[in-house]
Amino acid sequence: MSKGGRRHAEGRGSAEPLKLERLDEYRWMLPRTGAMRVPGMIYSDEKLLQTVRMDQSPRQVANVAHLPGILKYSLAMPDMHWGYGFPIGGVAATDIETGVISPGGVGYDINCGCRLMRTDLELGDLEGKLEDLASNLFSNIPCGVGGTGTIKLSRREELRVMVEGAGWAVKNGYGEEEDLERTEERGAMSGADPSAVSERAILRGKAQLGTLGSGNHFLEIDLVDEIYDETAAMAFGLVRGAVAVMIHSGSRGFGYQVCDDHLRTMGKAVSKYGLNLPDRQLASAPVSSPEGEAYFAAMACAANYAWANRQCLMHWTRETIERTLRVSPAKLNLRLVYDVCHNIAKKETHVVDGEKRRVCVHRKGATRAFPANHPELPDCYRQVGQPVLIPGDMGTCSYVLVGGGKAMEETWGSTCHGAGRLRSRSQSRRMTDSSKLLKELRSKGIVIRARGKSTLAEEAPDAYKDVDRVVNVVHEVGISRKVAKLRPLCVIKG
Amino acid sequence: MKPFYRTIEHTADIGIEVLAPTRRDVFVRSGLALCDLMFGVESVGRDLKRPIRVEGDNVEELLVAWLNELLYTYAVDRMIFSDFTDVRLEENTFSATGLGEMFMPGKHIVATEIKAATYHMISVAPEGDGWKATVILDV
Repeated sequence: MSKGGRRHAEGRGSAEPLKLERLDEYRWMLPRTGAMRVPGMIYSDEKLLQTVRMDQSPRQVANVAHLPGILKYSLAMPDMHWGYGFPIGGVAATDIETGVISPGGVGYDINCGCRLMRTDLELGDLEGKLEDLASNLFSNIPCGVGGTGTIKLSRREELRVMVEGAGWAVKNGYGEEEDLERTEERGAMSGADPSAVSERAILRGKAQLGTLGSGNHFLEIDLVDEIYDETAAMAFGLVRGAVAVMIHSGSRGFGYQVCDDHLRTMGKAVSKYGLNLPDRQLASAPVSSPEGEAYFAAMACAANYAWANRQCLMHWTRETIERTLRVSPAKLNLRLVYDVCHNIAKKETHVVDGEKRRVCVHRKGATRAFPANHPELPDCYRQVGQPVLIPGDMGTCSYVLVGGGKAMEETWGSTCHGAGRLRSRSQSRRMTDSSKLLKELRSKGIVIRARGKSTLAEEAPDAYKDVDRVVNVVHEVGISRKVAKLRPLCVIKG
Repeated sequence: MKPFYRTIEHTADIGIEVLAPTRRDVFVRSGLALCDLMFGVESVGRDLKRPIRVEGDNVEELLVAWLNELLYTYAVDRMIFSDFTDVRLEENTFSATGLGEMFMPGKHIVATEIKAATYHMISVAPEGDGWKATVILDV
């Protein structure tokens, strides 16, 4: 064993300073240097870019540009920040026949994503009941570090979850058939093969279905505060002054284990296929290789697990609201607007140099944003485009966007996924007085329930970029458009 | 900050830097740092023993595998550790006996959920008279 081991030379090429060339108000190009196969393209504005320049994320954009088979650009959305392997906010498409698939382009929390529900409730319906609702949601929705749920899956059932995803949940009474139509991939990616999933992942996922998790995962009661696009808002069922619910969660320990297992295999594949990559976390294999196909099959299982997870969380949320407010299902009229994932690799058809090609789109902290008339959209959204959910921070606001035409031309049908972190967790803990923060939020009418004070401090509003600026960039560029702004009323954190 | 490790600023996640006199000890301290970030090692007893063995092609892979094995043991078996003995670091294996106890909500306060130890910036290298490990943890 050598002292350094096999070197994937993290930082190789990092000796050269990166130069960003400004193309227009919102686009910066990272020209090809060294072994980069394509240039980088960063969507941002002057102010957002100031903080980006201080972290490692532009270097990570350059690193991703080394992936074999990458097409056009290594992209980064305006919420970009330093991740591991890919930057958070990174998007890269590789040719399915000649390119690679990289678990680092998806991350450990496979199909971490958001789901938004609309209701017929108005602010007045919550008057005097918000504290109770917060407490009941906090006790009914399993959350927190390593939280285990109330669903106990048999082996046979867990295999079904991996293949059927949200459909499994609906069949078992957690929701309605119409929810599936309003879920990306109808809540079940094809190509899922449980034989590619390790025993360890199965064991790790067994007790965690129907749990929110901790960190930046949350359940939020929101008020629709502003409408920017009446037509799209109407199609999404969003009305100004109405109450909505957002859930942010992922595939829990099941996904983490799938990623870890396959990263090991990919590490060996890097040597086997003679790949030259600047970061071990970008370990990859050709999409069509046995290693690439096995990863995709297991990743799809984890994605489906995550959709089942969010479907169950939505069901308990619906039940809790009905019981706490003593409203009938008809009066509540809680319906799914959409469920999108933001950590995923998808095989999609895109136009490249005037020709339709099958590509593998990696979205690492980025959201699919298909525009109107895209054939993969459900009938209910075909005319307006796909809803895109952009959670902000717990003290300001979140956005609902709709996929824009430029996304298909420039970003493989993708846009940003959130506000994006600005401060590290430890910085945020040092700079935040949790009790003071709680008081401030309360003075704004926001009720918080959180397992730990440290989570609260780590997730303080100041730890995040200005979501208004982030959303403004994608809106102005035209890769997605603003539809509605949501204001938080009650936030449940793990 | 505990004397055997320090955290590195990372925008989304947490990095740790661990110093130890030997490469073997750097593994032990990295494991303790992970447990400390999650639970605070002082709160964890040592009544139960659990042998742990991982494999890897090189020292960095072994370190990542070791830390991820500790996360797995917590996630699946609910066992957490406060010390490690019988430590052996060889060409392609690392083994140790974990001393710890079963996770008890109430007694153990979980500060941070760590999803995984990553390979990003992973390093195990000589530093002064000893060794230093750098690991970025996905949280």
